[in-house]
Amino acid sequence: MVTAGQPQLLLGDLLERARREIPAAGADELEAQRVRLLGRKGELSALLRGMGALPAGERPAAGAAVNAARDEIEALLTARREAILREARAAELGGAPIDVTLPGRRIAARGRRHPVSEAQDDLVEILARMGYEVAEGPEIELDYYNFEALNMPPDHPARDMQDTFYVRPPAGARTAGPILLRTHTSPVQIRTMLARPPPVRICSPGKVYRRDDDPTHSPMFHQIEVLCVDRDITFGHLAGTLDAFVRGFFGEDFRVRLRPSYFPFVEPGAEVDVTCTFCLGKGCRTCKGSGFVEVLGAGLVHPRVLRAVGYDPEEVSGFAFGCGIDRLAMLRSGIDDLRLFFENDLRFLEQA
Amino acid sequence: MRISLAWLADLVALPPAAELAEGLTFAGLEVERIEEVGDDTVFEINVTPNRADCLSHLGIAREVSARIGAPLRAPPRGSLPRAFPGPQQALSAGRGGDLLPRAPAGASPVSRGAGDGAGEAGPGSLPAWLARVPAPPRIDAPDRCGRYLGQAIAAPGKGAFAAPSPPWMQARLAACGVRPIGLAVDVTNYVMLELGQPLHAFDLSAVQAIVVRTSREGERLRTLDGNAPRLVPGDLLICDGERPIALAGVMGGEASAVTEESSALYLEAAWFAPEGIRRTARRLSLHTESSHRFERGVDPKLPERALERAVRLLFGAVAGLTAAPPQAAEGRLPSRRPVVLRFARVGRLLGAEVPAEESRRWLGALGFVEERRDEREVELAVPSWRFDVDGEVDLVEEIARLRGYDRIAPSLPGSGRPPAAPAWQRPLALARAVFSAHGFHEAVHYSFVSRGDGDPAAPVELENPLGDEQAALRGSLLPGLCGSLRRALAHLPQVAGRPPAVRLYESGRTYGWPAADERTTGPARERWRLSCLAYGPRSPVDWGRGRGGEPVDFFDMKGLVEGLAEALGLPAAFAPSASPWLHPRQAASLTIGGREAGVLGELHPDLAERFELPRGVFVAELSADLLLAAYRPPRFSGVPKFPAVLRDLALVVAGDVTAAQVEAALREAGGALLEAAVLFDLYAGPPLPEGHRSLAYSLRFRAADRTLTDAEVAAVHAAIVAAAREKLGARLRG
Ligand SMILES: [Zn+2]
Repeated sequence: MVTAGQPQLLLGDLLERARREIPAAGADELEAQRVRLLGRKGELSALLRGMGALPAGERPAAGAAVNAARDEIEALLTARREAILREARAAELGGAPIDVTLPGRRIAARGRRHPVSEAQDDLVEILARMGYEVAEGPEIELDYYNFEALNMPPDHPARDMQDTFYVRPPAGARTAGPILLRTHTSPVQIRTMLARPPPVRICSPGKVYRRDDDPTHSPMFHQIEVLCVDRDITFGHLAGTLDAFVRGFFGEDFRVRLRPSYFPFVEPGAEVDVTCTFCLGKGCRTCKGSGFVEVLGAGLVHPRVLRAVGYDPEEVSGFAFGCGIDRLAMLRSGIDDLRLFFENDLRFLEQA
Repeated sequence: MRISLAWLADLVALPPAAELAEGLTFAGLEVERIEEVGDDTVFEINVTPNRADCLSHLGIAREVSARIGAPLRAPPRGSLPRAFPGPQQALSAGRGGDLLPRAPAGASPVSRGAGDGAGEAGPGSLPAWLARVPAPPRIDAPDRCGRYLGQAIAAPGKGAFAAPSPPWMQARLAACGVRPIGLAVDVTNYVMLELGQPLHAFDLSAVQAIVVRTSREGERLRTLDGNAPRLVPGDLLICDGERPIALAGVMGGEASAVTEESSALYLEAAWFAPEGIRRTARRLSLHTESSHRFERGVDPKLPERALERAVRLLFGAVAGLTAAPPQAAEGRLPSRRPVVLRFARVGRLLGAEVPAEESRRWLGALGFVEERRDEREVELAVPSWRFDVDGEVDLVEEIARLRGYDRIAPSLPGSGRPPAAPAWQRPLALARAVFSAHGFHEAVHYSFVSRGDGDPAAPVELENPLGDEQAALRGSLLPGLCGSLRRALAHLPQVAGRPPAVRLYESGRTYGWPAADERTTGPARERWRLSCLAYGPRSPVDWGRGRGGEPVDFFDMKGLVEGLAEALGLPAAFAPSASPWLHPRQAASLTIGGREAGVLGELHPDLAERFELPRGVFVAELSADLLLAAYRPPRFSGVPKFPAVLRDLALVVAGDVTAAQVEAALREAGGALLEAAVLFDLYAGPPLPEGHRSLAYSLRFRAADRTLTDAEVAAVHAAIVAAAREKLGARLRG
């Protein structure tokens, strides 16, 4: 097809054909064109080989012409290849969309946290940022740690505030006084202070038990207790810490309000109200129109408690506060029946 | 405590109700409810146990007076018989009291008509009933009864003391939630609500000689509620001679009660020691208005005033009464020491500037009397009604609450040492993430379970449970999880004909008694467990994969446990287990570093039946104490520099050869070059011999320092095959 002797003429034909055919070639055809034109045994190679017959003076020019033709053909091929890909992509993208409204698939359903344990984690974290370390203690306690060391000797009327479950001691065992289910996490205060000298900054979350069962009281619930003992700790520090604690949990717009109250292990003692989460302080049925709900008990650690653990109330002072984690979780998530937390109904748990 | 504002206004000038309620609440006497009763307003006040002095209108009036500065008013005097012997006069005769015949001339009994009229018995004309006036009271338990005052009062005929009390008195009692019964009882209740002193009225015919003593073993007394509780030594009794007629400070006896038949009564006003009253009231579950006050502490100076007030009210209500002079006996009252307040201490504890003058003013308003004072401190006598005040800090509280807590500026204490996070915090979060990723919801169950009846699984039992179902403490988290599954199956709908998928886990404690030589923090052994339960289809129903929905099986549960161990960086080993909770053929124990860390498997069919559950429930109960403490943070070692070589190997072994044995043989013979052995097929059946199975592994070989040659791989592969044959009788599957 290509013969030596007419290289210029043939080169012209060849280029002209390539310019005509390549832009129209399909994907398969394109590779055939490349082989035929540029392959080792292709037409351009043949032309080059034929140039040996040319006079020496013409050879450089002829060679340059062939190289220019090769470049042009390669450019044509590349352009066509890209055009074909673009068309194919355009065809793919232009088709009918899938039904994106079909449900997504899960390998496993997402497991949820229990609202109380999640609230407990949040509280511990808020307190950790304020310098409080987690301290734990037994739920089955001795009367001494739960009451006596907390300034509630036997026959103290304040014991009525916490109706107590007593545990039957094991047969034949000699125990150091009555055994009970702790009615608050305050015994952890005592155990911690007995174990180490001041300063102390701890929070103790955990289960507590009271002999009560109705929509707002359950025989088991969760409490977190905070204790800070150091030199020159004041009631003002208690108020400031409560404020930070409550804002950390509920949000910056929430306020605390302290009212005098009585817990035998603190003095002065306070009941702490927080902006009502239902009406945000405007007043509603939940808060009986006051804009506040009662959530915490607090106070300065009673000197008798400090002395009971071997601290000197002239040297150090401290504050303590404690609250129901369940109650905080209820307020935060708008749950009105405490017992929902412990029924573990999947229809409830799945809402988390 | 219900407080009538009309009544309170007798005692102190009041601000408007809303203002008063707020003032009381922020002084520590929380007004929980405000109610309109007729044209009166009633406050329901939550009186904390330390403030027994506020269990009366007088007590609240004192607080109002201290807080707003209005002076106290004496209650309206009402009628008092002319020439009535004042209690002081009667008491001046000293211990042992007075009996009329020996009384001074001025102390003659007097009768008079109701209202303001005169009408009185002339001196010397002693009525016949006085022959029956008892001998002076005697206190045989002086530490338990600090004072005992009594007074006999007679009516001209029967019925006057059981007749209705005046309407105004009934209205006030009703406003305070006390049911009017009859004059004598109503008057005692009225005085108690007004002044805080519980009184008791006996039928005079039942009283010859009052003796206050403690009970002897086995004594009984039929009380006003119709019961006859068994008394124990230490219960305090009011006796007529030997015969008990009242449970002191708690409840009167039935036989000595004032009835329609009564024509004379004996009024008692006494001071009883709080602890003893409380012990008796609690033991007998007799919580009365009287015991409520005595066990919290009644002002020991109150009996005279209360008795006088009661007599005035009776005289005002009934014409023709006659009263004997009061009788008194003295026991021992607890001594009250003065309390010292260092002025600087107030500001130092509160974190607020409080001038000494201000502190003194508040305490003075509350009735504290300065006994000594200098620049630095003041010594104060505590008012007789303030049982709760015995230390400096109590005074600081009084000052703080009357000033208002809102006047103490909030601040934060200086930062301390940064806290250490508990060691379990991170591993617990990792474990929770694994549960969550596998679709397990977190549950929190009560620690209570039904009584174990000696069941070793729940050995800790309660003395006073709420019911049989909550009589013991759990020894395992599994019963709680099983209960929730049962309830879930009762209400969760099926999807596409498949049972609902239920996945639950719980992190919590279990309870038991320690062994003899075991050390525990508390009196019992408390273990922290992480337990879970899975039931139903392995994966959620979806529209793409059809409706396969195979139920979960043992290996799904095992995969979860392996995932947990992996997340915690722990090498897990499994072996058959004999846990009583589990199906004996589908039960495994988890071992971490040679220590058993839990069990997993199918819930035992007998237990499934007992929990009313279907078969196919898989559970795991793991030791959180052990797992979380063993947590190893991940360590990284770069990526391999040389390529791996893969070879498949299918071994046929007898049915009693375990996968763990096969894998151990592979690892031992493969040595350092065998990087991984992944089981990818398990087959039993023809053409394999009966009772045999084939395990097919994908083996991955790699050396850390070079590219393995074919010859090296062939040699180690051959060694593996040989070892499997020798140790386990395995042959290559053809
Ligand atoms: Zn509200």
